[in-house]
Amino acid sequence: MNLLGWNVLPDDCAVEFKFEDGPRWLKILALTPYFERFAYPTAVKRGLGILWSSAPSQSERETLESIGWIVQTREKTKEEKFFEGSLALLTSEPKRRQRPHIALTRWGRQRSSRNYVHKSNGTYSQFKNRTLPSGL
Amino acid sequence: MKKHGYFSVLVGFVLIGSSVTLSTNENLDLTRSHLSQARIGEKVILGGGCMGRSDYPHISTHVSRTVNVIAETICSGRQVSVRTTLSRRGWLFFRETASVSKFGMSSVRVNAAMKCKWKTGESPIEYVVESVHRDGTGASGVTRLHRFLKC
Repeated sequence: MNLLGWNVLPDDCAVEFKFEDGPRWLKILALTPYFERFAYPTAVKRGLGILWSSAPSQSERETLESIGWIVQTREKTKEEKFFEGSLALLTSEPKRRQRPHIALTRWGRQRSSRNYVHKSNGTYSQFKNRTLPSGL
Repeated sequence: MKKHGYFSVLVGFVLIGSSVTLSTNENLDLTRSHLSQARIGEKVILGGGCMGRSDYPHISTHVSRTVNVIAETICSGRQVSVRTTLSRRGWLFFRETASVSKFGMSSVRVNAAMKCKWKTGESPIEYVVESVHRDGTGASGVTRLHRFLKC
């Protein structure tokens, strides 16, 4: 079964879903094992699916946007990289690092991965409050 | 009857345990001097331009049918290191991984790569990159990203 956003993804794009901006029922669906797959086409149609692409042609972009994808061609900002967990400041860390929580869904794994990064880096409170740490 | 009681308590513990974080014995090799700098039990952001980053895993344009990822640590005037693990989710919890690490001065960059496995008609495969960035004083940072690729 082909489901948009689940197993039908455009090539050469980094895909991101903002379920946190969606309705509660969609978040619950995205966190339900197996049934999570049905949350993805809805998320795309509701404009919660973002494609980060370096250079789509105008026609490709129009096609993707007509489906519901939000197409971003700019580079991610430092803030976006920090919140998603791809950019970190080095911190002194006297604690033992803990592994991410086990999650059975894609979005659950992404959430637990971000929590793990920010807890490990000591930036969890900034992550939760959506503020940047000093130094970034 | 008593056996049933013990059994339900055991099942209860297992269920609770599965939702708790899996901790590993990943020691961070802190030196005494580093410990004296850091306040125990509290994390101190050093800043000063010392940072680590990981890119999204992507299909290589140089080596066909290969997925790769770049990670780097930057800290001006200090010894730095990066250890990057690229892993691919397999059946159930089994993963295939490729790890690379590198040390250097001021800036180090690594490229971790794996051969593609995806076949036409299959769902995209989930790749996870996790990097641990360190500097000479023992300060560290973690970066981690997921991406689905037809590779």
